[in-house]
Amino acid sequence: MDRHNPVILAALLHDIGKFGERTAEPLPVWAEPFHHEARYTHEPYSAVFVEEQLGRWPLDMTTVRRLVLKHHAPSLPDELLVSLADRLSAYERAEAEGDREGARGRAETALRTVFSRLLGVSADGARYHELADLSLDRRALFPRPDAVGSVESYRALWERFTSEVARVPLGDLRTLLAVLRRFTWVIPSDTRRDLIPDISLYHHLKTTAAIAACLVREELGEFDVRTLHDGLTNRWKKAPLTPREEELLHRPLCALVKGDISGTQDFLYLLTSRGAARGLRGRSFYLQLLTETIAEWILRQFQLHPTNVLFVGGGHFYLLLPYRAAAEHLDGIQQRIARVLWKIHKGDLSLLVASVPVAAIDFLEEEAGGNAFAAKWGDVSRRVNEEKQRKWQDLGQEGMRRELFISRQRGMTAEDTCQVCHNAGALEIQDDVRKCQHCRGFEELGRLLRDPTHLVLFTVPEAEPPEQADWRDALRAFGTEAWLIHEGDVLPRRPPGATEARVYTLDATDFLDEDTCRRFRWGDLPVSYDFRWLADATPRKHDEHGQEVIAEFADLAEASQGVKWLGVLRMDVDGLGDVFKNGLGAQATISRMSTLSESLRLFFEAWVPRLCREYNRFQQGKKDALYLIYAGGDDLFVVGAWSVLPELAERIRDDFRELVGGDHVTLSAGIAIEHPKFPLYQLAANARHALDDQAKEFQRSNGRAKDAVSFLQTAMGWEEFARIAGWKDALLQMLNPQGEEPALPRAFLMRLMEIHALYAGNRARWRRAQRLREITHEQMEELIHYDKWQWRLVYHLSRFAERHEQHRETIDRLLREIVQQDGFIARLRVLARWAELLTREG
Amino acid sequence: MTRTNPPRQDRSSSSTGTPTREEVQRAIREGGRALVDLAERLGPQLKEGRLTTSQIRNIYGMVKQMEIRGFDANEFVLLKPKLAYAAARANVPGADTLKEVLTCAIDEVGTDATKFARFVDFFEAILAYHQAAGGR
Ligand SMILES: [Zn+2]
Ligand SMILES: [Zn+2]
Repeated sequence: MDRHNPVILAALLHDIGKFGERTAEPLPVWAEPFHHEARYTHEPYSAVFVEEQLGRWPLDMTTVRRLVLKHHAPSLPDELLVSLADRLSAYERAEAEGDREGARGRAETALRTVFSRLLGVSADGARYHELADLSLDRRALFPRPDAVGSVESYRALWERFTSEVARVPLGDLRTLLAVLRRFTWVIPSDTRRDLIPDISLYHHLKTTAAIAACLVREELGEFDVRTLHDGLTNRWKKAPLTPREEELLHRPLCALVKGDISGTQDFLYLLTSRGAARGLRGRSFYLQLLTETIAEWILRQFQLHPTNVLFVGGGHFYLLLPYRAAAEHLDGIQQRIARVLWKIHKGDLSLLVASVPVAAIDFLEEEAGGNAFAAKWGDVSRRVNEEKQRKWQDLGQEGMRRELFISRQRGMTAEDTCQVCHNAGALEIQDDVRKCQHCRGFEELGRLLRDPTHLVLFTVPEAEPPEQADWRDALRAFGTEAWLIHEGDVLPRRPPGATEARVYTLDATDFLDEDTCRRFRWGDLPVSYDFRWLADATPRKHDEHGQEVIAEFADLAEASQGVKWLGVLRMDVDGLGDVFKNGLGAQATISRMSTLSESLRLFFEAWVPRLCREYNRFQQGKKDALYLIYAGGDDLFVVGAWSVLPELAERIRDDFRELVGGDHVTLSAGIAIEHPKFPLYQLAANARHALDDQAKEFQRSNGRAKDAVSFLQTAMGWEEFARIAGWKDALLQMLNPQGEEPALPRAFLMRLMEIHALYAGNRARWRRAQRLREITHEQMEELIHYDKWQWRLVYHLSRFAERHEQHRETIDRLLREIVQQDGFIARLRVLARWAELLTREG
Repeated sequence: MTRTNPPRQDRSSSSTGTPTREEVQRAIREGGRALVDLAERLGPQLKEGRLTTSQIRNIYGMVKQMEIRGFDANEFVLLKPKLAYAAARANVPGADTLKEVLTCAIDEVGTDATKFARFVDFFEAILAYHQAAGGR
């Protein structure tokens, strides 16, 4: 029952030799005999790494060395465990069939992005990652069709990797994991010629360690572990299994646990406009931090490393826990979480937890006679949703009780509630607004989120939250104290009873530099170092005292081009469940699932905020236009100047397309815009409607659905949207020409709208006729297209062209496209309205 | 829902030259594509035939008046001599073409109010394409 069991560390490092081997450096002479104990060529390199890099670690490193060396030729019980974990993470046919070549170090093989191995990708859709450490560089993040590895690039990377490893605090697995994440995330785990090299070494190592940590707790007998090994091999070979092998393959080893925060929508958006903008970013960050803190807290209950977090983000987490311990303790854990959150948030926020057992068979690819891990991923999500249904019923009663017995009895009036969130609490007047302790806390958190360089999390004794708790109390109840550190800040004091500190470098991957290691120390307190994305794009302005503060929604509206309105953009991945469940097909192993979810997370948490920040030019003396409330998991929510949202949406979509290398995984967007006095909650709901009911319901004439954007109440495929956006630019050119050229009058736009109305009326008429079976579908199509709108368009546009000779060419081109291109006329209103709003004063 | 336009033939391959009686009849009977295509073809032809907008405006004005008052077949048929008179006065080839096409269209309308509505559309479309072709 020891988190420092050598089996776990060995599992984490078993294949690190694949990295070392590809530098083509020979083994040191003393390690040459290792070859006799290994099956392939990479294990001795792993053993050398353990010996040379981690020799001083306060663990039984001789055992770790032996374990990594023997992971393909195990004989002792602990060797069998590491080997078993390896096979459950990723077990390939070649190995099962006893191939001798193994995963030889072929340095030229680059990691093929897991997106481009999903079902439905053509051969030329393959994209590969440049061999580089993780960073926000476009070159590092985005795969290309032609990237290849080389011995030289492996050498350079290895050099930097090992020098970082040397700085890892002795025995600290969390920091080591972070270094591995940075340097091995795009190293292909397996480079056998007949395989698609789509599993990153990092994810293979991490999931192997996660599984190993569970196996260690399961206390499997030596005989059982051997039997499991045989069972796995026989499954691959489709050989008959003994009853015992069959039984063990189906014995649960792990529990896949999903936690999901519910109530986040109301928590974020059901606020009055009074100071809502100031608190929103704090609220969103708190949700993120709370999710992570609870995930970490659960891991601590099981004495597990962060390796066992399979995914965290987007208000939910997936953990891999040892089966028996989970079965025994999970109920109690869930109850504590529910109790604490109830006490702090009175039902506004809750966390639902569900778990499913995972047996050896569930880890295996289908080709290997397994069930593919994705099925479990889907199962546990379903369980959480069922839980949610039940919870809503419970909460309904609970809420009613609260309403009846608490607020009414106390005779609560408007003066007793917070003017931002309407809850009761320790009220105080701030900036002429009455606020509860939650709202004040979130505003403070929002201020702290301005340019922090580090996040420090102390592990502290769990403290019962007080009656009037704020966000700090919530985290403390789960044993975490959080500090955001800015340049020049004095470090926080070591909290009483702290047992460890985690120092996260924000938005940069160079997290283990000397400065950080020297600066962030608290006596003998163990410190781990890591990096993370802040997913931040927060608008600023100067207040009347010249102080820099978070800009209000009205300020964002002011940053719009044309009419000064506010907008909300929501985007998410289309059919994500299907991507996970079916996309990887029969090959959905835990390593691939992990690689896939992390790739998505990286895009949303790291890349999207970066794109958003490009629209905030406060530093350059301009107005900030965007407020990224949330980006993570597979979705995002941005509030901002309405006029920049369509362009932002398109850029995010284009980059996503580049990331996945095609149209097999797609994104949709919903944009809602309104005047700035419109309640945010309603605007958020409108954007959700645009996304869920319009963009996601969009279908092309060829049947292809989604992959769309809804803007100005009109859903369009992205390809159409790009065309409209292009024409919008052309219209603006004519309406606001550069230099001396006379402008096209805005009456032009009114004409376009009239013509669209003519079209729409005619379309409604013939659709009705078709529904009544008075005409065929083909007749309807023809009658809709060949109608009055066409010659009216021709008439009016040619009149404009005549009177505005300098714009004739553009107008003629527009006319031709509207008449000739599929569906353009149906979008004419969007085009005209868009240009109209962009050119409207004030 | 997006929709596809019915496939549009290449214009240059469709028939050219003065429209036949059948083509005009189809335009009035069916409207839709037959009407739009024919008007689109006629516009440049009339312009080439040196017909000016003002030369046909009068007649078009009368047709619009009839439309507002409500269709009356007896009144409508009197358009024919007016067309003939206007064409003679204009004395350009385009005016003759227009006269022939519209006369044929009037015959096709007869006493049918629906066809009259198409006639108005057809006339309006001819004006639009004539204007688009650079006709004044
Ligand atoms: Zn290996
Ligand atoms: Zn492995």
